[in-house]
This record gives sequence, structure tokens and C-alpha cells, in this order.
Amino acid sequence: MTQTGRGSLTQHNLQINFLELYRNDDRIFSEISFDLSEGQHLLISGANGTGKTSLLRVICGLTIPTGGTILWNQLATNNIDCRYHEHLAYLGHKNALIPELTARENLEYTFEGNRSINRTSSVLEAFGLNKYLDQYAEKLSNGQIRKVALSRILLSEKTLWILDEPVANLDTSGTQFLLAEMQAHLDQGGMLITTSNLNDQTLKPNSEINLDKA
Amino acid sequence: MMKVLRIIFLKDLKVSLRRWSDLLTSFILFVLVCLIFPLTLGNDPSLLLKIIGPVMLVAALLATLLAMQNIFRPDVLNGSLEQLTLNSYPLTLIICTKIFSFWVITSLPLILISGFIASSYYVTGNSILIVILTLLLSTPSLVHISALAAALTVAIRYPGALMALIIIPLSLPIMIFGAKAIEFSISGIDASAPLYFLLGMMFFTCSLGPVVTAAAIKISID
Repeated sequence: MTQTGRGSLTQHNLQINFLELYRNDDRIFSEISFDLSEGQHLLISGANGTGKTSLLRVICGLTIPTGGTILWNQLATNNIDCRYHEHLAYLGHKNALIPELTARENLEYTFEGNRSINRTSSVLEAFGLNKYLDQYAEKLSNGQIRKVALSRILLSEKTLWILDEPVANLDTSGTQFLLAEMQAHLDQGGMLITTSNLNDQTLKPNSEINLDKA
Repeated sequence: MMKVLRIIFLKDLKVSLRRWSDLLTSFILFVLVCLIFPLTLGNDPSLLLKIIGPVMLVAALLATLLAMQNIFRPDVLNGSLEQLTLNSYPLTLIICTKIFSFWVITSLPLILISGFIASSYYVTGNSILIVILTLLLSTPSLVHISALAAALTVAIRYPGALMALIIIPLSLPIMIFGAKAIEFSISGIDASAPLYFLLGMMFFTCSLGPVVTAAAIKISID
């Protein structure tokens, strides 16, 4: 079992203490604390503009918080020994596809190459992407682009998935497949943080942070 | 680690080649700026030999400025740059690789054609080699300075003018010593002193540039 793969010997754990973010003296959010262990799902809810995306970007390390700490396995995430980013897969509103590359080239443009071919083809099959693999990303529709970006997460073998509005632009069958995959990820000891306006019944979060009240 | 850098290098080369119109624009700009002087000043070798140094370097600066506007911008817009900051590899080395691939794709063609352009300025013999060597030593510095300016201005909608304001003062030493190297060699003086200075500047910008650029990128995508 590799160190980076799921099910390694140490139990992963993400701990957030009193996180707060201010922009030009305006409070975006404050006093966010939670604890996430393997197999748990955290939902961040709230109306538009309450800072869901900002909170996810802070948790990823893209934005530096005004105050508070983010601990991965009891180590601060900016600690050089922490190896937080080895376990993290983030998908924001931007799908991070390069328009000049084909869908296949975009999928291949990752830094860890030991995924199984069966798994790759089953994910692409379920998303209905097989026919479009050799098209340039700029020619794909928004939903297809989202599916390629999500396939990259599903195939990434990272422990912690941070997904911002994962079902945006997805069709019904794509949504169903994604929800099943997220459940499977949790069952295998993965961790999941999502924001979603979807009132979904099939994937129950273990805990929820509502930014309307924060 | 080397495997990751190779993946980034090859991917950047491939993407740049598919944006070939951008590349062609900066290349043609360089050729046109260089050729406009022999065409307009007429058949006066002594005058042309006097101006070739500054003209070459200014043209290289303009071409670099034009090409480097697009080193980070598209990747910031489509979100792939923030994904690059989210892996466990050092951003400085990733940025260094990106800059190197941009140098290969934008500056190497200029260096290759500069010998032919020099001959239209009546430059002969060893001096042609000195012209090529000057560009070879000065373009890495120009590319690193431009990358820093591009990283600082990546959040601005029309960065061209601001980039020029940042780049031109910083690249003045390279302009001065590059022009001197070409001038010395044409007038038969040993040009090694300015060339050594350009080499020193190249090492300085190549070692410090990516560190500063990576920090600027982190701030810009916040």
C-alpha cells in the first residue's frame, strides 16, 4: 500500500479551529471549527454570497485565512512535513481544463500515473465521455467539461475531496453516477467536503456548516 | 520530481504550439522592427552598424513583452494554475519550467534568425556570432523579468502597458550591456567584458526570478 493511497496505516484527520476570513474589514466568515475523519462527509451550506467558495479555498490553502488553524493529521498544513496537498483533490468553479488540449490530454495531464485502465474506462463510460475524448476541450459543452474535470478527481486516488458545487451543469445520469461515486469514496475511508444547493436525499452529510448563521 | 517537470515542460510546449498565432505575432514583430531600419535608412553601412545593437535588443524586448503577456493569463482564467499550486511539488520549480519552455518557444526562434538579420545591417564575420551570443545571453534575463511582470499583473484585465512600465526599467542594464557587446565587437574591441556581465545577469535573474514570480503568483490567485 502506498503512502499516498487510501487505506494507509495512519488514519487521516482534518481539524479546523476558529477559522476566520476578513476582506477589507468586511467579515466573510468567522469561528468556523470542525473535525473531519476518514469516511466522513461535511456539507457547507448557505445562501449565495455567504462565503462557501471562500471557505473551501481557505481549507485548500489557496487563500490565507485572517485567523485560525488548519491541521492535517495534527500538523499545520503549511508545515513542510505535513504533505497535506498529496492527499487533497480540489475542484472549484473553474474546471482547470486547458482548451488547447483534447479531453484525453487533459485527463492525462496529471502527476500520478498508477491508476488502473479498467477504472478509467468505467468512469468515462458512466459519464458518456468516450466519444468525445479526442475533441479539444474548447469544443466541449459545459456539462462535458465538468464531467472531464470530475473524472480527474474520481481517478485521482486522493483521500480528501473538496468539491465546490460538484453537480453544477451535470445531467441526471451524471449526477446519479457522481453521487454513487462519492458514497463509494466515503465507504472506502475517503473524506469529502462539498457545497451544494442540491437538496439531495441519497448522500447524507455527517455534519453541516451553515454559513447563514456563522 | 524530474518526471513532473518534464510533463509540465512538454505540455507547455504543446499548448504554445497550438496557440501558434501568438507565437507568430511576436516573431514577426521582431523581424519587422529589425528590418524597418535597413529599409528606411537606406544604403549607409556605417550608420546601420552603429544602431544594430540597440535595435536588436529593443526588438527582442518588444517581442518578449508581447509573447509573455500570455504565459500565466490563460492558465489563471481556466483555473489550471491554481491546481498547479495545489500539489506537493515546489511551485518555484514548476514556474521555472514554465518559463524555460516559454523561452524555448518564443526566444529561440529570434536567436536563430538574428544572424540573418545582422547580415542585412552589413555585419560580417565574427561579429555575427557575437550578435547571436548577445541575444542568447540576454533573452533568458528578459524572459524572467517579463514573467515576474506577468505574474504581478495577472489579475488586471489589460496588463500590456503596466507590464511595459515594470519591464523596461528592470531590463535597462541588459539593454545597455547587450548593445555595448555588439558595438565593441563591430568596432574590433574585445567584447568579453559586457558579455560576462550579461552572463552574470542571466544567472542572477534565472536563480532569483522564479522564486519571486512564484510568490507573486500565490498572491495573485488568492
